[in-house]
Formats: sequence, structure tokens, C-alpha cells
Amino acid sequence: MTATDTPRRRVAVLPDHLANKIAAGEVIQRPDSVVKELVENALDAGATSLQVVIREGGKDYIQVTDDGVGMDEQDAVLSFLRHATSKIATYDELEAITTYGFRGEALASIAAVAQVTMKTRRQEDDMAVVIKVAGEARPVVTRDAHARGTTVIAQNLFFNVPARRKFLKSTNTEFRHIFDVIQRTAIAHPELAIEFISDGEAVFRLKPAGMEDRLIEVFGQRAVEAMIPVQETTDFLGVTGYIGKPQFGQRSRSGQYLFLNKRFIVSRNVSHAIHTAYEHLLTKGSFPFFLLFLEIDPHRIDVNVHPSKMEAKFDDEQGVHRFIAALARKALGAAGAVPALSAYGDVESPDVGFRFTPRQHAWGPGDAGGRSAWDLPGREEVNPVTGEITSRTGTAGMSQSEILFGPAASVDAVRPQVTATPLAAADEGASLLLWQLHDRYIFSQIRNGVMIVDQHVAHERILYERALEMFEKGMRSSQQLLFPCTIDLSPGDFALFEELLPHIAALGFDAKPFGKHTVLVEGVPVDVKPGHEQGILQEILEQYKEYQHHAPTEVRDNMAKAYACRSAIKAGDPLTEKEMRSLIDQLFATSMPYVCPHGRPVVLRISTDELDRRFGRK
Amino acid sequence: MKFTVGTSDLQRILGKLGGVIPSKSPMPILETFLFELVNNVLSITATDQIIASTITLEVRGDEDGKIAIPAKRLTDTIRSLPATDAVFVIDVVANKIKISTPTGEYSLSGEAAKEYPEVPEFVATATTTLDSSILRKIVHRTAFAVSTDELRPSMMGILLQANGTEIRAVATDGHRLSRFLYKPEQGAKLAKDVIVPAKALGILVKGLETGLCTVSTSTTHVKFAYDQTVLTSRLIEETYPNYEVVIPKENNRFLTIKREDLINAIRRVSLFANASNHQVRFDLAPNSLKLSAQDTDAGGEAHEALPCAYDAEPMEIGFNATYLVDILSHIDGEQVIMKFSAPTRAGIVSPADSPETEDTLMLIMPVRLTVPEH
Repeated sequence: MTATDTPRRRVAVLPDHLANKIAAGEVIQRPDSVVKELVENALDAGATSLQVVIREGGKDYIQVTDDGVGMDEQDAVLSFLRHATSKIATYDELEAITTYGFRGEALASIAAVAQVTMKTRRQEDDMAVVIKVAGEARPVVTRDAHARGTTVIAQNLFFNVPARRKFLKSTNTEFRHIFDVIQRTAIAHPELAIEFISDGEAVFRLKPAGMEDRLIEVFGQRAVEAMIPVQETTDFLGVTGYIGKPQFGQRSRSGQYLFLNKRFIVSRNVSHAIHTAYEHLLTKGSFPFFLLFLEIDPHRIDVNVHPSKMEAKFDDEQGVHRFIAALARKALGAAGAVPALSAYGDVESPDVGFRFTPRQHAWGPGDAGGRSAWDLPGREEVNPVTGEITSRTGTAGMSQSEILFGPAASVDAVRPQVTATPLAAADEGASLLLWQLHDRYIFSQIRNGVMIVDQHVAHERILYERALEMFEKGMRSSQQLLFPCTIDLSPGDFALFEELLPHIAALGFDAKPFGKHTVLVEGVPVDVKPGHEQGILQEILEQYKEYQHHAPTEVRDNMAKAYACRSAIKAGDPLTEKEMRSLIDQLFATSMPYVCPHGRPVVLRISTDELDRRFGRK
Repeated sequence: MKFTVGTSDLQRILGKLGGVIPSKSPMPILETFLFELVNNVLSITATDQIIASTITLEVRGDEDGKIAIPAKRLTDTIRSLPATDAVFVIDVVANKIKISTPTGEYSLSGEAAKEYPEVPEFVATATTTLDSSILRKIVHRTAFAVSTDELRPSMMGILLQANGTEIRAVATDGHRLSRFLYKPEQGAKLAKDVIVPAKALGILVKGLETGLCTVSTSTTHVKFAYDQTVLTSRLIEETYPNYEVVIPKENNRFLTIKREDLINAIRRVSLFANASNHQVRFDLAPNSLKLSAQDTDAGGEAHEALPCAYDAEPMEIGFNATYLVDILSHIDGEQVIMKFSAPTRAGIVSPADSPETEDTLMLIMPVRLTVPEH
């Protein structure tokens, strides 16, 4: 950029309309912020019923109607001014905020970036005040009929800020964000009647209810049965709510709801506290469900740290952490949430075709002398972690597993040494020595030490690369199901499903919309374990949302990761020797066997030198 | 409590009951056998609380009594004894067991019999008698297709249905299904459609010898009685999926082929299949079947042509080789008939000939392979 393009300017105070647009951006980031601000205003006005109508994911049209107290003309006009609020008057009141809004920014911010119409009437007035504001134009005040309460309509969001309008996401995505806002409101306020209409279709129509009935309406009967109630009160902190049974914890962080004095917040501190309580009850990478209402003396927290008020700071972060962790641990213990043993134990009768699951795999008899067929003399060291090879013989053209374990041909070269080995045992000896530790890690003897493979991330790496290849080449195979299954998705997830359908199909799912928010699955990728057909798609969607949160542009990559993570064998899945062998073969056929798609290590090696050192031999 | 028993008789019985003992249980008492002596009859019971099996044998009894004896220790001990008479002397108050043979003496501690869980008693509302060979056949034909997935408990058992004249057994894991029909001369009756845990039938088949077996059912339990054995199992009280509707009626492309040849060819070709999907492809044309497999990851491929009879339009269809070999290995006879309709629809496999009294039908869902168009 040169000086002639942009003549040097002098520092100047921004004109109001510009300043307002910038400030508005802090509060109004996307349509869901508009909905959130308007809903909070309605709640502060004492609404008992609420109607939210949106079109085009709120980009086009948002209307929030409440039956609260309403305003007279003077208040209504003032409400559009920045920092005009009825909610706090003094600094003391700011210290102890009990209403949702308090900065007096909401309406002014919305009006700065959208065309806003407000109708409001108090019980005692005959006619409602109607105010129309758009951008910098002066408000126009008229009168009209309206029930008691307030309706605010925001149209054409960011109509005057094209740069921001361009950055709005697809209708489905914006819809999901708004859906989340309404869902949280519904949970925090079971006493509130809520109607939510999107593009002419009713998404929610909730009657005032008790907490449990409301949760059943919102999450479904099954989900509520999987919740453990918690309750505890101390002098400064009260907690009520639910935590999920560990076996239902296999989703993403999106199943975590925390309300501080009825305001939805995100707190890493609290999430972490809950997570520690579950400790080993959850498999790695899964998150516990929780829905907690915290009541804290408003003086002891600061909610004014984030413009959209999504975060809050506790005076005593550590104390809160300890308290929540202890509470969750107690609830889990009381609910007996230790994984149950299977109802029908193991059967070991392969003659009738039952599953036989060896827990251990003895070293093959070919190893009798303490040397494996792969422990070849004369070969040089390989560092499997770096893939670095120091060898006198050329290794070009060898597969990575050949480098690690020696070429397959070498089996014959050493076998004659084991003279007394019967034929069957020789076959055994020809196999890699594999042993599964705690149904979690695969141990294998390599030429100068031991290799440890994390079975979950190993499979994740394989599936991730396979998914990318399927996207790339368009080749897929899909196991057809004898009993096609239907999956009921939340409206938000259903919108996501439709958005991602081409990618989902490319992975090998034969899935299609089937009724309002239902998906029919007729075929699944061949890697999906039998019996997981029902849940897998939903898990992938959840996982995808989680990844998407961090890297919104990497749709394919996130999809491949989500698929890999959810379809992969888990820590805790027992594997047969054949399965372990196949896993390792496939792992070393990938382009990057040593790290998983998230960057965690897949393979660990301990050399005999290292072991010798540890045992004091060197 | 005191009795004398031959070690080889006892070993045979403990071997049959061992399968019932759960491998890991929160209740240590389940890892014992219950011994009960009345006059000269010794009953030995094992249970995992779902399945209970009791076998009786004649012994020389001196003093009646009841005790629970640790299963593993006892089985290991009896197995390593030579064939001889062993004298059991049991102090049922102190729960001490002493086993004496002509050369040695072995002492171990047991548990009080009153700690042992009750074996469920139920009133059977239907009773039917089947030959052991038929029961064995039912299990052989179906058990391989049972699901091992605890998310769908109904599919973890074998469905048995009877309408008076025939008995049918069904198993499925959602990818394949096996249905076996049999018409016993004397007819067959069950209390209702029952789902029997696969484990129970596995144990049954292990213990069955020759002769007749009485099958009694109520709405909650099933009991198999044969020889000196009574095996009781709780039923899986779930709704079995409506399997009849998924059995296609319109499959009109018939392939007749030698069973052994097909199994062997699939085994060979599938060595070259992708390690994760084991997929083999059938290319069908008039009187021609080409099997092929390809491993895109490792870069191998194989194909083989087989003589067969096929007179419908050419088609391509893919299967998981493991499922298909499973199915073909649980069918009898030299020739099998496979019936197809479309590459995404279930294929039917059945023996070309089967006795009048029985009917075997297996279903396999294909793997749909989509190859990009060039």
C-alpha cells in the first residue's frame, strides 16, 4: 500500500454511527445474538410466555414476542439509546446483577445493524407504541393495537454492514445456533411457555412444566433416564441439576449445560471439575453430559467479563472446582455408575460358532529360544518413532512393517534353526508376537525392543486416511442392513445432517431423510462395528460439531476425523490376535503411522538398551 | 457329608458344568459348584444366575449334606488325579472339604450351601420332546449368526417358535440371518415364541449325547432335561425383530454351485481382499461366476472362475467373505442355491436338497461397492 492510495489522515473521533456499528459488532455477532438479547429482555420484563419466529436462520427475519410488562412511549424511545437501561442505576447494583441484561446495549446494538420494529403496550395503556428504527435514521413513532407485552422484529441483519453479512453462515448453521439459544432458555425456564417457529414450521411448542417434564420434552425420555440428579447447597453456592451416567457420555462437549443464576455460561473450570469426577469411567475423548444450575451470591462473581456474557469469573475458582468435583463424584458413586458386567458372560465354544475372545496371546512356540524370527542378526537399527533407518543394506522398496519387523521372506531363512517345531506351531511362529494389555495397548516385540501401539488412535489413523481417500476418489463400500434403522435427530442435528449429507454418503452411509427430523439408515460403512449402526451417525455429527467449533473451514477434514474417531475400535475393546495383526499391518500402510489425526502419538518404542539401563545392566 | 465317587465320572461332569461358571463375577459364590448328596445320589449344580445346570450321578453315599466347592480348584484337582475312587469327607459346619485317594489327601475350603443362589423353579406351560441330534442341528444352523452386541439384547439369543407341527429357530446379527425349520413326527409345542440366550444353547450342545431331550417352557424360562442333566435358563424377554418381512420373496436369479468349491474359492480370493471389509465380488453371467477381490491399500488382487449353473441376467454383487463362508459352512449338502434380486438387496442361500422334514434358509446382506465413473 502506498501513501498516494491512502492519504495520511489525522486522528479523529469516530462519528456516532460508525462507533455504534463497531460496538454493535461486539454484542451482535450473528443472528443468535439478536435472539439471545431479545429473549433476555423478555425474561427481564417478566414474560410468562414467549414466541420466537425466524426466517432463513434469522438472517432475514427475527421476531420475539413476550407477555411481559411492556413500556410507555418515553421508555420505549429511550431503550434504543446506547447504555440506556432500566436494569441498573448505580454502581452498587452493577455489583449485584440479577437481571439478564444490564449494559443497556442490546436494542441499540441491534438497531445499529438491522431494521428494527418494536411494538409494546403496558397493561394500563389502550394502544401500543410502535417504533421503527433502521441504521442511523431517526426513530419513527406511531401507534397500533397489540396485546400486553412487547414484540421486537429485527429484519435484514447487517443490511448496512455488507462485510459482516457476507460472513454469516448457511441458513442451517445459523438455525442451529438459534436453536441452541432457545433450547437453553427452555431448560433454564421450565415455567415459561415457549413457541419457536422457523420458516413457518413449529420447532418447539412447550407448555409451562416442571423441570423433569421440560427436560423430557427437550431431550427425550431416554436421555432423561440416563441422568443422575444432583443437589447440594452451601453458604455461598447452591447446585442443582443432573449429570449423565458414564455409559451415555460418548458425545461431544455439546451435552454440557451450565447455568449461573439461570444465565447460560461456559466455564472450563466447572467442565474440568466434572470431568475429573468421571476419571476412568469415560473412555478417552468422550465427555460427560451435565446440566447444572449454580446459584451464587451475585457479589461473588463477575459476569461482565465477556460482551455476550457467556463466561463468568468466580471469586474462588478453586473452591468451586473442588465443590463441583466432590458433588459429581458423590452422585456417581451413589448411582452405582460403575460399568455393569455383561448379562451373559463369555462363552468359549468355537465349535458352535460363538465368539471366542482370547484375553492373552501366548508367545509363539517358535520363540522358545527367546529370539523371534524377526530378531535377525546383521540388520541395523530402526527408530520407529522417527522412521529413521541406519542400515548398511538398502531398504528402498520395503514397506514400513518390513523395516520394523524384517521382511516376510526372512521367516523361511530362520525356520530351519527351529528343528523340532511341528507344522502347526511353525505357522504360529511365523506370526508377529502380539499381546494386548488391558484391552487397550498392543505390545509387540520388535528387533531391538518392544513396540507399544495405542489401538484406538492406530485405528483412528487408518480410518482417517481411508475417509480422506473415499472423499478423494469417490469409491466407497457400504454394508447393507437387514433391519434398516431410523434415527431421531434434534432439529439442529437434522439441519446439520442435511448439510453434510453428500459427505456422509461419501463415507459409505446409505442414509436419507425420513419424516420430519428422522433419518433412515439402510447401509453403513464396512468399518462400522455390528450393532453400532444406530448410534454411529449421531456420534459422528456430535463429534463433527466439536471439531467444527475449532476449525470451521475444514469441513472434509473434520468429517474424516469425526468418522475416524467414532468408528474406530475403542480402548477397552478386546481384540483377537488376527485383529491385532491386521490393525498393525494397516497402520503401517498409512502415510503417517506415528501420529493420530489429532497429533497424539500412536506408537511408542522402548529399546532393549533402555530396558537394560533401567534394570541396571548397563 | 461323605461319599465315594470315581474320579473319571466326576471329571466328565465337572467338564460339562464348567461352561456355566461365569469367568468374572462380582459374586464369588458363582465360582463354586453346589454339591448335594441324598442317599446315593449326588447332584452337582453350576449357575451364573441366568443359566443353571444340574447333573446327578450315583455315588456311594455315607452321610447326606450340601456344600459349595470352589469350581476351579476342584476341577483342576480332579483332572490331575488318575482314574480311581475318591472319598469326599466334608465338614458342613466348618465348610472344609477333604478328598482322599489311595495315595493322597487334598483339603480345601468351601462355602456354606445356604449362600448358594436358588435355582429358579418355574411352572412349564408347554413341553415337547426332541431328539438330541435335532437340537444339535438347530444350534449348529443358527448360533453362528447370533449377535454379540449388547446394545441389541434380543439378537443375542436364538428365537424358537413352534406351531404344533413344526419348530423354527432364527438367529441374526443384522447383517445375516439364519432360519431353520423342522417338523418333528410328534409335533412341537412352546409356551410362546421364546428367545434363548446363545450361551445356554452352547452349553446344551456341549453336554448333549444321544437320546431324547425334553424342552419345557414358560413365558420366562426354558428347561432342557436329558440323561442325568437339567439345564434351566432365563429367556431373553425382549421383542425379536420382525424377521419375516426382511426375507425377500422376489429373488428370481438363481445360482446353483458346489458348496465346497465355492467356500474354498472364496477363502483363496479373500486373502487378497481389503483387510477391513473382506469384500469379495461376484460377477455373474450365464453359467459363469467370477469371484474377485482387491486390496486398494496394499495393492493386491485376485480372481477365480467357477463352474456353476446360472441362467438370469448378468449382475455384480459384493459380500463380506467372512459372513459368506460362515453361512456356507453351516449348510449341509453338496450343492447350494443362491438367489439374488439386486446388488443392494439381501441374497438367499439354501441347500439344493434337503430332507422333507426340514428347511434351511440363510440371508446375507451385500456390501454395496460404488466405484467412481471415469
